[in-house]
Amino acid sequence: MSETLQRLLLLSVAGLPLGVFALMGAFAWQGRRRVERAVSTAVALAFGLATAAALTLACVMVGEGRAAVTAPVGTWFGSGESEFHLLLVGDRLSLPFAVLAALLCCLIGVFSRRYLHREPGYLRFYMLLALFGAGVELVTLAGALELTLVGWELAGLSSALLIAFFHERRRPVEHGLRAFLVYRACDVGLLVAVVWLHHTTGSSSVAGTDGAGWALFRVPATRGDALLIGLALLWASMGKAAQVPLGGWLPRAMEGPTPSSAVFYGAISVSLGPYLLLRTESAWSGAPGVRTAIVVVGALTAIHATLVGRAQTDIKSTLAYASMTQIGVVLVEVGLGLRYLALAHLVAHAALRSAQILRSPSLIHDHHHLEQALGGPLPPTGRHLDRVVPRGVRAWLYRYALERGYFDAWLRDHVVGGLTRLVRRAESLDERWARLLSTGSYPREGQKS
Amino acid sequence: MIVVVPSLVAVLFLVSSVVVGRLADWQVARRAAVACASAATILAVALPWSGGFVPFSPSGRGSGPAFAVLPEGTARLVVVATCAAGLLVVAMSPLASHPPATLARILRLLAVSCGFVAVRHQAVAVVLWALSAWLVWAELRGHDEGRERLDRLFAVYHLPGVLLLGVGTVLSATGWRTAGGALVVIAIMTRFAVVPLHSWYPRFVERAPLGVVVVFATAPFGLLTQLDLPAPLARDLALLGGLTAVVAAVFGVVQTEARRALAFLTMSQTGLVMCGLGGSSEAVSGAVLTWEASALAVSGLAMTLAALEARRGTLSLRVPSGNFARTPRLAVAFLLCGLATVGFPLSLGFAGGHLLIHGSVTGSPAVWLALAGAVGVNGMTVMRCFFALFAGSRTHSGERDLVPLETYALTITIGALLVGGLFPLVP
Amino acid sequence: MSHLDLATDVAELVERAARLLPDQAPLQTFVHHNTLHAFEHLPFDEAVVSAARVFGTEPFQTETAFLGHVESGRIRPADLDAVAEAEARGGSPIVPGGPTRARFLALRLRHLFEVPRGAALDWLLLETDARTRLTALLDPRRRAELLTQARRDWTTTPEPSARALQARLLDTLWNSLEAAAPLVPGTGAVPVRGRDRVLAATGTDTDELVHPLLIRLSAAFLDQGVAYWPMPERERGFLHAFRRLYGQAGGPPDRFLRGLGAELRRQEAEGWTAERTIVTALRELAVPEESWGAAIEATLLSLRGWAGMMRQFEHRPERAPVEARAARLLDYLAVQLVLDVHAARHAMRNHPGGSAPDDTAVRPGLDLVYEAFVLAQVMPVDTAVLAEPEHAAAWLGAVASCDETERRRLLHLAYERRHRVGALDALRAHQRVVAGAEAPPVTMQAVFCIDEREESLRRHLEEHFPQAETYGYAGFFGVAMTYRGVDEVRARPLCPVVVTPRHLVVEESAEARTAQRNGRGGLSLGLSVGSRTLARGSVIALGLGATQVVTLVGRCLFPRLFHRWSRRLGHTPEAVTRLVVERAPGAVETEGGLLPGYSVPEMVEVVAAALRTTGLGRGLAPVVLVVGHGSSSLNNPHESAHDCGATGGGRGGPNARAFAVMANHPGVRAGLRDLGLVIPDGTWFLGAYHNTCDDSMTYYDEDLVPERSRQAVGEAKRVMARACVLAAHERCRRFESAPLDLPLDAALAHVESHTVDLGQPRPEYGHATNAVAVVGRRSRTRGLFLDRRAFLVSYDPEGDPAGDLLTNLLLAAGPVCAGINLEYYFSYVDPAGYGCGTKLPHNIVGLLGVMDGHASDLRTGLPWQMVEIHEPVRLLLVVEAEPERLAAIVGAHAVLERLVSNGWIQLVAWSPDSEAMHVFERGGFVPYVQEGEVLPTVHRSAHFYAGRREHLGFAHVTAALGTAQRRELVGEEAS
Repeated sequence: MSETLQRLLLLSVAGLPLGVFALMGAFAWQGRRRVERAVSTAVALAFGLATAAALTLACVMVGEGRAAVTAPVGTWFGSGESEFHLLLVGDRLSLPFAVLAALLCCLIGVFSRRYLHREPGYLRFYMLLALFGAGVELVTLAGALELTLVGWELAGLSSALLIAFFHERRRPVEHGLRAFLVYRACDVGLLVAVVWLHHTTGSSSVAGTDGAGWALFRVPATRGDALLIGLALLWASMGKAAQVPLGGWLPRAMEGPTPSSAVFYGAISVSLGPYLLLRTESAWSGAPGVRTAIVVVGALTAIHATLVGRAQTDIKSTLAYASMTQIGVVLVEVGLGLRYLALAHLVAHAALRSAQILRSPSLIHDHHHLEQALGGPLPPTGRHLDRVVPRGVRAWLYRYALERGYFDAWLRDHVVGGLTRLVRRAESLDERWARLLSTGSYPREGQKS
Repeated sequence: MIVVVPSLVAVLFLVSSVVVGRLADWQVARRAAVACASAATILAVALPWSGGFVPFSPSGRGSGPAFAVLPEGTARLVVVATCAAGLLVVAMSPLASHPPATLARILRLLAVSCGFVAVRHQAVAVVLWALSAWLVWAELRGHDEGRERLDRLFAVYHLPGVLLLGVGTVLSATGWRTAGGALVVIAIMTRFAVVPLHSWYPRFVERAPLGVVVVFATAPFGLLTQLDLPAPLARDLALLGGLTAVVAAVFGVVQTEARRALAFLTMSQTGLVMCGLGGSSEAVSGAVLTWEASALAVSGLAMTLAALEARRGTLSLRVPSGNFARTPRLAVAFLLCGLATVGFPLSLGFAGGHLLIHGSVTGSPAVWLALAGAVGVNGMTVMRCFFALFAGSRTHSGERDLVPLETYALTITIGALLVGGLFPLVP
Repeated sequence: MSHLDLATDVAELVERAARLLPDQAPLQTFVHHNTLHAFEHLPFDEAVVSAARVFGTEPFQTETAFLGHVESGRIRPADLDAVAEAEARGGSPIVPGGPTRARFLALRLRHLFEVPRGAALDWLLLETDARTRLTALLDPRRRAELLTQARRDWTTTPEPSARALQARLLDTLWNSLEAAAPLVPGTGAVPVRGRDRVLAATGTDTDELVHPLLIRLSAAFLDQGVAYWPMPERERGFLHAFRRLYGQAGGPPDRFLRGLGAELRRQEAEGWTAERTIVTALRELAVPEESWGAAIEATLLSLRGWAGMMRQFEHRPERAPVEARAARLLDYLAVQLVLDVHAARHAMRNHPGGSAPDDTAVRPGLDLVYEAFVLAQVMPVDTAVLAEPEHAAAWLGAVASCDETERRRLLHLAYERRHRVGALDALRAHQRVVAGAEAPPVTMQAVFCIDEREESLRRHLEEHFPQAETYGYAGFFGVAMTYRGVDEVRARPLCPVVVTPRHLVVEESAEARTAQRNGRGGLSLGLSVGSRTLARGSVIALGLGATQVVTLVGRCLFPRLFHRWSRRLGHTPEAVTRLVVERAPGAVETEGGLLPGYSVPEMVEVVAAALRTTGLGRGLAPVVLVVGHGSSSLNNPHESAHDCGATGGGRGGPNARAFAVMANHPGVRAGLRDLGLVIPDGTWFLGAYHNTCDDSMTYYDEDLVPERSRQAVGEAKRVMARACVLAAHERCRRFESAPLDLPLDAALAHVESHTVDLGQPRPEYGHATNAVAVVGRRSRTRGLFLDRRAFLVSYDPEGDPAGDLLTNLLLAAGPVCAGINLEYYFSYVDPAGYGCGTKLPHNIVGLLGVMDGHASDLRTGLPWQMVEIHEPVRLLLVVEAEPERLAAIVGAHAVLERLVSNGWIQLVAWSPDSEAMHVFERGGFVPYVQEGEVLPTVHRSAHFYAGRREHLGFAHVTAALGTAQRRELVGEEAS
């Protein structure tokens, strides 16, 4: 296959969804009403074609035995050291993930056609789905970390807006905002990593491939740089992957329509975190501290989430914590350097979990059938805990699980709340100062209105 | 040196301000102002392209003032951005808070902003600076009747500011460069609401007509591009800008009133730009791009806020209490302008912010980390405002979406931000 | 008052408040009921308005929706005039030369426009030309009239432009109205709960802190098996479990919970009862004792879904899907109030002082002025008259008296009126068609549930096979039993909710259950639990992930095919089973006082009642199908809301089967003969089950059909299968997913794909569109197209000289149909407040109910996707009886009296021997006067509904009628 064709295919994987999004956005701003069918067909088709393109590329790569396909599009802006390169890379890591993401988005596009039929936000949903898909494909295929940042932010924004899809109720809006705040706080990590990598190595683009067919970034000169970059990347991925202690947004993200929850928070969105670490492994692998940190974060999350998940009483939270558990395990695998296992785990988990979340409204139906199949009530679960753990600890553990490890309260009341209180105090001083200036005198007791 | 295009634009604004101020019918007055601003924008954009048409060449060297058709360098964009922002402001100003007299003042302020680029002379700049402050003060004086007087607060800050600028300019011109520069820096800090000389600004944004706030903010950048400060002073100013960016970002994200959040967001953006202007060449071009984006995006943000406020009354951020379905276009415009302000990907601000942070990394590590943090936090502020203002409620009070005039202005602005985001012209 | 008194008082107050809580059981046993059951003692329109105040909901459809109805012709001008006339008869003009009150109302309802409030109104007046240009609602004549009025005041020449004329006229009008406008105080809500007071004082809503925790706790306490770990010590009650959990040291770090642990420990040590806890909390929240009732009510209503579920578990523990819990509403309230106290303390502690902006400022009611201003332009008023202050005030008064709620009430009446007129006219017109016609020879009979979804199946059966006769009888067929199927884990009652079953019927299999089946069950259980854990989850994810891609592709792209394949893979042959209906001699009562099966005399009673009431006993055909119904669908937490209401939200198949077993029983037949009811030997009853979701039929005990009936049964099944196809096709017209030109053969496949598709939130529309119930002989409605909107109850007035059968029928069917109808009404008019909103974000919690998304109140009512095509009208109950008899029956039974006199249903008496109809209005029956429109006549239903999705009217369908009538109708049409 010719080089140009391969590049075109690679470009289309991310370009098609983005193009569809732009087109729909222009129509929407004009105020034209589109028929449901046209909207969903456009989006599903775009993702279908993207899937096909990514699959073709993967086949070509395997068939021709090549390590990677790259598509340099040129420089977006900037000059000299700060050039922004538009570079896409398809290798053994990115192509499987690109296929998965495009396929899931395509399936959800078809699925939601029936699921969201007659919903007032139909167009909005599909636009956000397209934007999200485009963002994910950018992150996946980006050969320059700057481009990853672009996709990263787009995916985050569309996630937050989809969580708040049912905008007339307050909870979805608050939870969408919360997810966005966490994302944004963690995006800073990615920004820092990009800038510092660029600064220390002179480039944040892929520099070549290793023997196994994984694209490599330039390695920072010193271990300190690698440590900084690695930790910044870990911080970035912790937000998206809902790791301890930031993961409280994940169960709350189940506010949107079920299909988007399935594909985002069960599958793709949370997988972006580990994916970023896999992608950039070459940049941080020089610092052993980073590996340790990743393993620790992953293990803590897995243990925390599996504990917490066991006390959840609603199906979507249960599945959210199940996702968090597995993503924690994947992070451990990434930290241990088991990259093929991690990739396989990531892809398999994404498929399993989306299928489960899509099926979650049938829980009562399924429970009934399960009872019939077993020929009796379901056996009680969690009994071995009663035997192993003493009573006091059991209650304590249960409360820990029910309260989701208290992380939310800590973050809300103490970290964010503390900062807010501090700012408010400073502000009230400022306010008094301004009042003094504008009235020309201190407000005396008698004058207080 | 006198530059022709900005001068023409400034004259156009001046003339129309006289006309608009005298119209009795408010709606007609606004339409007239929009027509004028549109003409000015077209003038500013189109005239430079007809490059061959130069009736008088800059030949009068030595005797009398020098002439040029276009300002050089970064200042070239200033006029276009000012006109576009002006168009947005006059098209979207709610009549209740912007009667024709205020509109006329806004047009005069726009003329002053163009004046900075039109006539490049230190003394003229000082006069224009004073003029713009006086115009705003006059507006506030008629506006505020309570015991806590905004015009007074404004005067307390800006009268010394203008005086310091004047003295500083004189001192610099007479050879006392450091002392003069220091005074000029203090004046600039006052004007740009740099911490700790910022206390007037949140109240100003909170209570003044938003159109005036926006136009007042567009004015002085023309000046900044021609500042000639001693290097250490410039660096200090940049550091203070960085500090402002961070502090204002943190203040902004916890505000409970929409206008105050806007005030701190604007302060933070200004701080970012100032920080960049004192850095490497890359950072400078990033800063100029950021300013360009801000001039449009912040104006868009502020004016959509004003439009919403006119429809819904005072806007609080305490609990989400808007209905997206009722005003979808207004909401989308707000979101897009907000995201463009904070340099979200695919908008003009992204290229600027990117260059700015990349460029500042060569300075001290503390500064660029702080900048990265500030950009992140500003994004949170924008999203928080969006959700609080446009979502979370089933009910509504019957407010309506954008009217055609507003759509027209916003389409131009948002189009420019998005197209500019795809093809940024890095200065 | 002593401590003890207060405690008993509190219990009583809670009990009183509990009546307002939603009365919805866990989803598995969903039963339709009147959402506003607590308000049934009030007249309907008063009740909906006061309920709207209490719950913060909508009483009627929105004005925008009604505007749409007026524009589309669903509400006609005649309806508006009639309603206005009934509301205000005659009277003098409101202002000199202006309209009378009745005319004013009629015109007001024709001109519906949005009146913005507050800043939005200011904006409208300033930024648009609302104040300077005549409104766009004007017709040209009135416009010209207004311009003339404007010119009259203009003395100068030359005459100014039309624009200036308008501006001046409107300016004068506005100013005179504004000057006369009354001042209105702001909406200063009176605080009831402690939380309201804190909110007013600090602007902090303590519910925001308390509710998430309370939701978590309630869900954990009531959970029926979603969580892997159960809540410790929940068997000792909610309050106890809460104290144990949160009384431990090292409590949650939430700032508002500071000191909670110590307090709970103290309460537990001192053995505080729930009542004492509540009393103490109310005192600390500074609620004055006289308003404790209101405070408790408001507190419980703030999270009413969960509070209601607690009450359900307290009152009907037997309805728990898996396991009952020791729930008490008092405990729940105690926990909520303890948390409220802590949150209130926290809010007050953190508040810097000062008070939130005062909302009680007085301002002129500009919105009223605007409304009056527009109306003065629209209505025939001389604007000059309004310059007089007293006339302007009168005008404003008239406008204010017809506020939004009042308008919606009147529009609702007009909306219902149009439907009532259409339905009654159609029934009368049809009667002339069917009267005195010869009956075709009957070769099969089918008894269906009265459910309005069976109407189309019955109609199509009669059209396709005119020798068939159908009957409607409450879908438990008189067999009020507790039933356990061979696969079922626990027995459940299959009878109306108001009946307590006394008989247990079980299904038994000849063979023992296979081990293979158990093994598969264990495997899928292991997978579904294991995939959520840490280690097992990793293995399962890695092992099964790839196969899930296939599942996903199948489920998303080819839902129906995929379902068939997966069914085929997991298929086990159905075992032959038998119902144990007859009680073995000497059998004793089982658990819960249930008798195993029925004795022969009991069976005789059941069968006799059915034969007599329906009139089936008059002449039995060789085959009688007894068809129960239910519905099964994937992706539908509200699955059981689609099942049969008459079996208490269960599936009526077993009841039909049991009935058939009884009616075929030789002993029973002998017993019946003694009562004078002869079942010929050649008649065979066959039980069947109709799945209303995919329109499939299942027949029971076919192997028992005697040789002589085989052929007839086969024929009956064949025509029934065809009728199912036809009915499915008619049903498809409502689904936008089905093209309007859907071929007949594709209909079954289409409805089946709705059933098995995970992505389909509308498996069927359930009872949506139900509007009418006809109690009477089928012969009077046979051949009338009723659009699946009518409950059809077979009642033979000739066999009921004393009216006892009718009384029983009305007592059973009246409340059930009204319950269904009203639940749909409320879920439609306020999908968020009464219904449970859109299905898309629903999240099943504890196997009990659904929440919106992550953690919300438990949502009760019906989802929007189930009701979206509903027409919210009150049930029009048409009973074939003389008005005197009906009035006597209604008057004698409080249940019916309440429903009818308070207008929760519209009752019509339809004389058995003439076409006279009497409508119950304001306490008595008044004769109904026909408006008279000619109904369309078609040969088959399909000709009438083809190509249309909307609600259809009525039509004569000739295929179901005898040839004579057919000729007559066709002749009419020709002439």
